[in-house]
Amino acid sequence: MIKLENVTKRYGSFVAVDNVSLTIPAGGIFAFLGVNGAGKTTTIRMMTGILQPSSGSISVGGFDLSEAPLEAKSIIGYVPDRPNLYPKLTGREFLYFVCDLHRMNHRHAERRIDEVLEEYSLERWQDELIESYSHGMKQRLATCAALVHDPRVLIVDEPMVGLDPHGAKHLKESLKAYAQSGLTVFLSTHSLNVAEELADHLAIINRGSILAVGTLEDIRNLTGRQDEDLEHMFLELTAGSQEH
Amino acid sequence: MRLIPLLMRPTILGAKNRICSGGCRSLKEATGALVSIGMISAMYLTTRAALNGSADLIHSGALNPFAPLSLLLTSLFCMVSLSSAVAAIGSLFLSRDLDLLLSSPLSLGRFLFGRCCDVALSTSWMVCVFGLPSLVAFGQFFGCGVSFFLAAPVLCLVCILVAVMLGVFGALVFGTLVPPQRGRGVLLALFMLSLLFFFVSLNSPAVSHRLLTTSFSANAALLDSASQLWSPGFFWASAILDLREGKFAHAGAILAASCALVAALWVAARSLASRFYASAYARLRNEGESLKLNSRGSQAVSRRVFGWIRADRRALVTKEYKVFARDLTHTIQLSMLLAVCFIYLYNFRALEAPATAAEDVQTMWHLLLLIVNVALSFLVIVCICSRFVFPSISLEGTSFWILQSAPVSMRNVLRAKVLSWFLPMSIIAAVIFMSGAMAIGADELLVLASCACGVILAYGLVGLGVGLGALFAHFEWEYSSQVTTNVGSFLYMALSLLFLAVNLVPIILMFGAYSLVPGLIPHESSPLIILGSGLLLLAAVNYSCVAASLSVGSRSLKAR
Repeated sequence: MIKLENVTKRYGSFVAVDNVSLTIPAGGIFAFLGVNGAGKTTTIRMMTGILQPSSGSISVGGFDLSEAPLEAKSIIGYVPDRPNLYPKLTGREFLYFVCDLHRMNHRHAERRIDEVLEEYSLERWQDELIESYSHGMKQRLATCAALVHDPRVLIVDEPMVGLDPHGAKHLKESLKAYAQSGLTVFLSTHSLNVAEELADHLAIINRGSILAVGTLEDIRNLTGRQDEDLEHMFLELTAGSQEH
Repeated sequence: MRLIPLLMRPTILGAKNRICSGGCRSLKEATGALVSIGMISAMYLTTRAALNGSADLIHSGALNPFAPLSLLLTSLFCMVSLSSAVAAIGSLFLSRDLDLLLSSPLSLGRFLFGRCCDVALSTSWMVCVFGLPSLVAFGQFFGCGVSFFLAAPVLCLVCILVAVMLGVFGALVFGTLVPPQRGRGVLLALFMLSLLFFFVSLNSPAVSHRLLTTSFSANAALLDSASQLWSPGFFWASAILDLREGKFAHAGAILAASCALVAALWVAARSLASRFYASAYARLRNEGESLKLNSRGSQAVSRRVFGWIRADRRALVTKEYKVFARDLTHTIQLSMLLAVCFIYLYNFRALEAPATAAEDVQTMWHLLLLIVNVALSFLVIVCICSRFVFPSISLEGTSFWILQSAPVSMRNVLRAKVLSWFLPMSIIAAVIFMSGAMAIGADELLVLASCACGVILAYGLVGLGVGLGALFAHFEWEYSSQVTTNVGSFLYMALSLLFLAVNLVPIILMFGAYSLVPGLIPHESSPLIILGSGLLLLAAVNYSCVAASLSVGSRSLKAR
C-alpha cells in the first residue's frame, strides 16, 4: 500500500532521512519507532506530500507522490503530532472544509461528519470555535478530519500526545478496528508499549536510517533476544543515539 | 546585549542568526535589498524633481514649503499611529508568546517597554524608508547646513515615537474598555463617527472655502488643510523650518515638548496597564469560549452563494471570508482603510477644472485628472491589498500543513486566494475609480472605462499580491499584523509602483486617444473601439502579470 524507495531528505549538509526503503502492506498497523530527532516526522511529512524528498520515490496506493500527488493525497488521512487547525473556524466548519477539499457529496459529508463527531465525542463542541478547544480536543478533531473522507491509508504522528487515558484507550481501540476493517494504519511513536500492543509490523529508525523492519518476532530474531520485550530491543538497537 | 530590551532580543538574535547562516545571500533577500535601495533613491529623486519643478512657485511665495512638509509629516504620523494601534493590539493581547511571557517573572514595565519597542520597530522602518529620503531632498533644495541634517532626523524620530505611543495607548484603552464581544460593533461606531467628523470639519466654512477654490494653483488648499494648528505635522514642520533658518531655540522647545509628550503617554500607558491589563487580557483570551455559531447554516449559505465554484475552491474561499470576518485586527484595519478611501474621494472632488478655461485646456485638464485619478486610486487599492491580500498566504500560519496534505494543487490554492480577494477588491476599486471619474465630471463612457480599469487593475494587484505573498510566505509569526510589516510587503508595494508605471502606458494611450483622436477621425464607433482595445490591452498585461506571479508563487510553495 505504501512504498518508499531509497528516500533521502537533506537540509543543506544535514541528512535528516538517509536512503530509507520501506514496503508497508495493505491493512494492519505499521508502527514507526525512533528516538526524538530520528527522522520519523520528516519521513511522515514526505509520505503525506508536505515535504519533497531530496531523492528517491514514494508511492501510496499505487500513486507516485511526485507524479500523481493529488490522487495519492486523496486516499491519505493524516493526523500530525501538533494539531494546528484554523482557530477561527468551528469544529464542524473545519470538517466541512476538509470534506469540500476532498470534493465529497454534501449529503455523504453531513453523514460522515455526524459519525466522526459522535465517535470522538465532539458533538457538544462542534459549533464552538477551535481556539477554545483543549489540546486533546484539537487532537481528536484532527483525527476526525483525517477519517471523515474515508481514507485508505491513515498516517498518525505521535497519536497519544495530549490525550487523557480515556482518549488514549479509545484511540487505540479505534485504530485496531480501522485496521481490521482494511484500513492501512501507519503509526509513528516513541511509546514502545503502544507499538507493542497495536502493531502488526514495525520499523525502527535512528539518525535517519532504518535499523530494523518486520514483525516483533523478526526483530527478536535480528537482535538474538528471543525473550526480551520491545523496550529492551529498542534500547539496544538505538544505543548511543542520545550521546549526539 | 545588555542594552537591548529583553523582549527585543529574540527579534534581534533571529535577524543576526539569519544573516550569519547566509540567509541574506539568497536571491529573495538580495532582490528585497535592491528594491529597497531603488525605492529610497526614487523617493529622493521624486521629491527633488517635485521641489525643482515648483521652484518658481516656492521662490515667488505662491507655494509655502511649510504646507507639503506639514502634509508629509502628518501623513507619516497618521500612518505610524494607525499601524501602531493595530500592531499593539496584536502584540499586547493576541500574540502567541504572551502565555510564556506573562507566566515568567518579568515586571510589567519591562514587558510594556519591550512591546513598545517591538511595535515601534515593526511599524516605523517602512515610514523611515519613505520619509527620510524626502527630508534629505528638502534640506538639499533649500541648501541647509549640517545642523539641519543632524537635528531633523531626531525631530522625525520623536514624531514617530509620539505616534507609536499614541497607538499603544489607544490599543490599551480599547482592550481595557471594550468587551471583546462588542469589539466589532464599537469599531464600526468609531468608523462612522470619524466619517462624520471629517464631513463636519471639511464642510466647515474655513476649510470648505479653501477646498472648493477652483483655480489650479489654489488646489494646494488640500495641502493647506494639513498645515493648520490642528494638524499633527504642524509643530514638527515648523520646527524643521526653524532649523532651516537656524532658529534652534524654537526647534529645541518643540523637541523638548514632544519628548515630554512621549514620556506622558508612557506614564499613562503604564498606569493603565498596571490597573487593567491583566483582566483585559484574560477577558480577550476567553472571547472564543462563549461563542456558539451556526455551522450548518453558514455551510448552507456558502453552498448557495458560491454554488457556481467547484467544491475545493469554494471551501478555500468560504474559509478565507470566515477567518477574515472573525479576526478583530482585520476589522480594525478594514475600518481604517475604508476611512482612507473616503478621505481620498472627498478630497479628489476639489480638483475641478476651471469653468472659465478654454476648451482645449479643459480637455487636457480632464485627461490629466483622469490619469491622476487612476494612479491615486491604484495607490489606495495597493494600501488595502498590502494589508489583506499580500499576507493572506502567510496568515495560513502553522495550519498550512492542512493545504499541503490536501488533494489540492498549490496553483489551485493560489487561484482560490485570488478569487476570494478579487471579489471584494474589484467592488472597492470599481467604486473608487468610478466615483473619482464622476467627481471630475467625466462623460459616461469614460466613467465606465475608469470602472473597468479599476476592476482589471484590482485583478492584477490581487494576483501580484497573492503570488508575491506566496514567494515571501512567512508562517511562523507571533501575531497576524507582523506579516504586513516584513520585507516582502515592502517589496510588494515597490513592485506595485512599477506595475502602475507599466499599466499607465495603455491607460494614457487609451484615455489620450479617446480625448484627442475622435476630433481627428470622425467615426461614430471610434470612441468605443479606442476604449475597447485599450481595455483589452490592459487586461492582457494584467492577466500575464497574474499568471507569472502565481506560477512563481506556487513553485515557491511547492519547494518548501
